[in-house]
Amino acid sequence: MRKIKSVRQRRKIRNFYLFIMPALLGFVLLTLYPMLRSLYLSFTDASLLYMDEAKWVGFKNYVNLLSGKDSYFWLSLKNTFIYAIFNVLGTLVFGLFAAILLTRKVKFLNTFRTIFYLPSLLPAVASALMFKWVFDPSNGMVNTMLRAIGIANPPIWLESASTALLTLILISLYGFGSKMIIFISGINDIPASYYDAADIDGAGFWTKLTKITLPLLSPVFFYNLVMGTIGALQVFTEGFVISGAGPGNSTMFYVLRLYNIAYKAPYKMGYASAMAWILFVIVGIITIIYFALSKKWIFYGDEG
Amino acid sequence: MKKNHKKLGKIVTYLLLISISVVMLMPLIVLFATSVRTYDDLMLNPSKLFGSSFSLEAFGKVLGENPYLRYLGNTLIITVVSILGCCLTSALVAYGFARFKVPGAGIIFAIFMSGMIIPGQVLNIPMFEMYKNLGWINTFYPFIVPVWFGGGIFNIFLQRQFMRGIPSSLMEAAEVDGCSEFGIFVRIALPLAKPVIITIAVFTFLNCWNDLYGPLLYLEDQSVWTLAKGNYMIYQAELGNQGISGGTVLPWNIISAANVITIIPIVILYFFAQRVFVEGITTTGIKG
Repeated sequence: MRKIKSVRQRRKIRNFYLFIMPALLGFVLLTLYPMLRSLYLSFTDASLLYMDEAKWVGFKNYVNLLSGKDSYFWLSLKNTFIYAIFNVLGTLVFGLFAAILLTRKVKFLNTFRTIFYLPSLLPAVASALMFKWVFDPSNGMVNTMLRAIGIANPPIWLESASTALLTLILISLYGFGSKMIIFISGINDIPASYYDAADIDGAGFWTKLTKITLPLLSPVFFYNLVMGTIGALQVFTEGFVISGAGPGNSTMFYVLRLYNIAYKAPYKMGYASAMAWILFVIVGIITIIYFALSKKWIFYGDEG
Repeated sequence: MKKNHKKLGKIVTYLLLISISVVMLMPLIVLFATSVRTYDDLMLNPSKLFGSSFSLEAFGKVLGENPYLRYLGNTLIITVVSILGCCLTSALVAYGFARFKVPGAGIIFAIFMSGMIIPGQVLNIPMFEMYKNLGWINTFYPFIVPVWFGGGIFNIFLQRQFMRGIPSSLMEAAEVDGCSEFGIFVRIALPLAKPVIITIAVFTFLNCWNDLYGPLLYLEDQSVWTLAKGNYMIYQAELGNQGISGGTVLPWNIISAANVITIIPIVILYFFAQRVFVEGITTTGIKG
């Protein structure tokens, strides 16, 4: 009996590894190896032009970056953080707000949902170019409308170093729909009995919102906060297409800078790898902080 | 009193919904309106939101002067293979995790999941080096090979959540009937996982359509460009022309037409798969 069981068990283990083999291979080849390789490269002066003759330089890349010798490093980090904070909070707040509106009993629900959600699915390049035109200082839609209501000298948006980053943040809020749709499904998952019970107790809209909806949504909110932050810190296409890091580097984002260093002459892949690892550490720290804080304010229903 | 209060709440709700809708729709309306203007009309009155002309001149220019059908074909090749790879291998791996409770499986899964926070940049440089050494620049391999290695951690996660819900009695019955483990996967798990597979397919489609970074790195020759890269390069070309000719107004009608061409497949996809977009996320349990 025992022997039969162990044969079964062994077959189970063999089958398990056979089934997960693609991911196991993928993890080694496409995650673990590149990770170690880029960690190694980050301590060298590697360039795409002489990858094999790369010299070990110790912490030189990291020192140059962190000490401010490369003045773009802190600038791009600052720009990226400003963008990430306002993008994440903005889309989450708008998304939540729209989700609350759309889970009330409204007519044309489907139409409103489509109008709010579809823009977040637009391909990044197309939507970036659309907004480049919309925010065009002399002929774009926004300034045409501002002039029509009597503002003679509207902001020049993407053309000015003082407003370009703000404009990119505004544009990014256009994608709040993807957050909204997740909140809607989260709200619809809340058992109706909770609200029925609250109705019996005479609770109003506001009480139900703050005592039932928001606490029960907090895990969804948390997930989106973590993944949204990780995504926003890697912002690339918007800066690359719309503003090209300008004017005056005011929209120089971290990954944009990294791209320029790694993939444009002189292809400093070692230096760019150090940048990538610093970003990795930042993302790791933020994730740990979020998880530490989450224990305090997330409500996990019955499980928690 | 209470009734009036409720009525007011309703009016405020609709006012908010309508004003947000206007803000969301205006850029798109201007985009479409610009794409059907002639260049002469645009030059004459660049700041008018709607032109006084209706013409497909810009679309003709985009499609006639650029190999757009080629871009579309390239994008479709990448998209279709990516969808197949992501859906099939993530299902395979997820089945392994959901079906076999073996020691260590939890740890392996946790290690896979932790990969989700690794910024792409950490992996991109060595991968670029690897693909370059393999001679894969200007081929679709950097896009259509990696998708067969697990199909993305998040997709595995979604599928595993789903497959855990399949009653094990179903699989045990098949096992008793002499079905091989792979047979059980193909005949029972895969058909039952259809909803989550469709969700993954739709979002893989979006990712492929959206990707600019990959084509920037790997697809240099115009013959292998995707729609996203083609769309971007049309803009770049017009910027260059403006630099030479010193014109004051970019031909936004042409750029807008290119944008519209890239956007339309997504809009069609949305209306065909609306349920997947709206409900897919619910069933797949982002909430863990």
